[in-house]
Amino acid sequence: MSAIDGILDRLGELPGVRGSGVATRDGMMVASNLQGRFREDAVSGLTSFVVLTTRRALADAGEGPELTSFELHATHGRLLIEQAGDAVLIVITDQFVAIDDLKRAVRAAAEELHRETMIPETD
Amino acid sequence: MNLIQRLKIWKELRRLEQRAQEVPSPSTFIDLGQVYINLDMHERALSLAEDGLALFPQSQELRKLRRFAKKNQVASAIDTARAEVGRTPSPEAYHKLASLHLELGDFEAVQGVCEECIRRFPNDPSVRLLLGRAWLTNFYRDLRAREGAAAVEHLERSLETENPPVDAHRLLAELFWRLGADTRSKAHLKALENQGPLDAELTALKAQLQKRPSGGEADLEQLLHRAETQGRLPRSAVQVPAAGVTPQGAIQGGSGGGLRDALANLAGRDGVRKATYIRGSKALVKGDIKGGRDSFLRATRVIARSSQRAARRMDIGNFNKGVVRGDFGQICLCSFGEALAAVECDDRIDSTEILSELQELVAGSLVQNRFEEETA
Repeated sequence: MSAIDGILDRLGELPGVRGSGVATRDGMMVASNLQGRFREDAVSGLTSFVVLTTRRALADAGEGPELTSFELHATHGRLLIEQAGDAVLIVITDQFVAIDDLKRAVRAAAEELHRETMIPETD
Repeated sequence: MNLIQRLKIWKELRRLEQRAQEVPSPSTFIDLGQVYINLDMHERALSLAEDGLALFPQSQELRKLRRFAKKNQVASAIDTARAEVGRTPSPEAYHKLASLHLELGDFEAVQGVCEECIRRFPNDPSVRLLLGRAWLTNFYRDLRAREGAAAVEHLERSLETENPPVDAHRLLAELFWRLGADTRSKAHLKALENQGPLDAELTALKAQLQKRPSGGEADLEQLLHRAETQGRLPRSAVQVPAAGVTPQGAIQGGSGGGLRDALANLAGRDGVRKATYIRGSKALVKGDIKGGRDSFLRATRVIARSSQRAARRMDIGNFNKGVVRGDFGQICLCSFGEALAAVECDDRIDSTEILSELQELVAGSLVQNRFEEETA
């Protein structure tokens, strides 16, 4: 099992989490643990769509285009997107999740993911 | 269509009308609306869609029906107005035709009709004013210097006619103020003052202009190009102090007061920079926002729309709240139906608290709205 799979498995064990994944910024899924509930390509594509349109809208509004996280609440679930270096960590939960605890866990997972996926600089 | 077919349709129509009355639901309204449209009864279809939306305000299908019926209604009115222009051309007939095209958003047609009218009736100001207003709308939206110059040209030419329209002075005074052409703005304000007492908006503009020193401003072409290059106007629309709302795209009416207070409370919190409430094409703004056309408003609309699309496609229901964090701080949004409220603030502020305040604000506005509709 790779380090990324380990991170996703640990996230999957948290209460309320229905699926998680790691995707590139342009919407390609690198690894996922969607528990058979969601389609991989739909989750990565829609996440990329939300991130890119938001980034463009913010740039047009004169805000810095860099997003660190995106939290989306819907009637039957929540979507958390956390920047992890060049990748994004995606977590889908039910609507009853304790959001503050989960946000902390997702942020820590994103930092770990960033460390794991970082290519060390050579002299 | 022969008589028997027609009788069958009328029978079906009666059945559907009865069904819509007895078992009202979006689908019974849609079925009936479809028959009205097939029979070219666009007025009836539109009024049915309005009735349906009063009962089911969240129904997307009913909104589509209303849009479609409205479009057909305007298209049929255009045919009548065009026939009128062909039969007895007059500035009024051209004005009516151009206004209908404008309602449909067909700017090329507006231009064509107005130019034809100007050729025939060069001394009539109404169509020039309409054309100037249409160019101005485009300029405020896209900030293209060419469109701004065209707006100024048509509005100024409307003032050269025998009956110069007062509205042209007002539009020019505001445009020149926003561009930073104070001397020109003052001249139009003076002309307005000569016609009678100024209203609250123009009085506020006068007060702002009096604070500015005279002279030393760049020429108009330069100012228009600067706005295009920088992608923004140097000044926002003048705010009327008592209302606290931008004149353009502002929400007015009964529910405005409570909303304004709630939004002002949010904007007054330490660390909150911008706060807005948007319903349809209207917006109420507080904080560091440059009027109804501020790009923050557009950004929040785009974020809410893309979030709604993603939530629906991921099968997690309808988007209702969101938080975007970045090096700018955070943007918190809350959306129900066509109402959207958003705040930009520092990231040290508790977003859960802000979201719950936004939710109260939006829910309160919807309840108030429904109450007003029911008591109207």
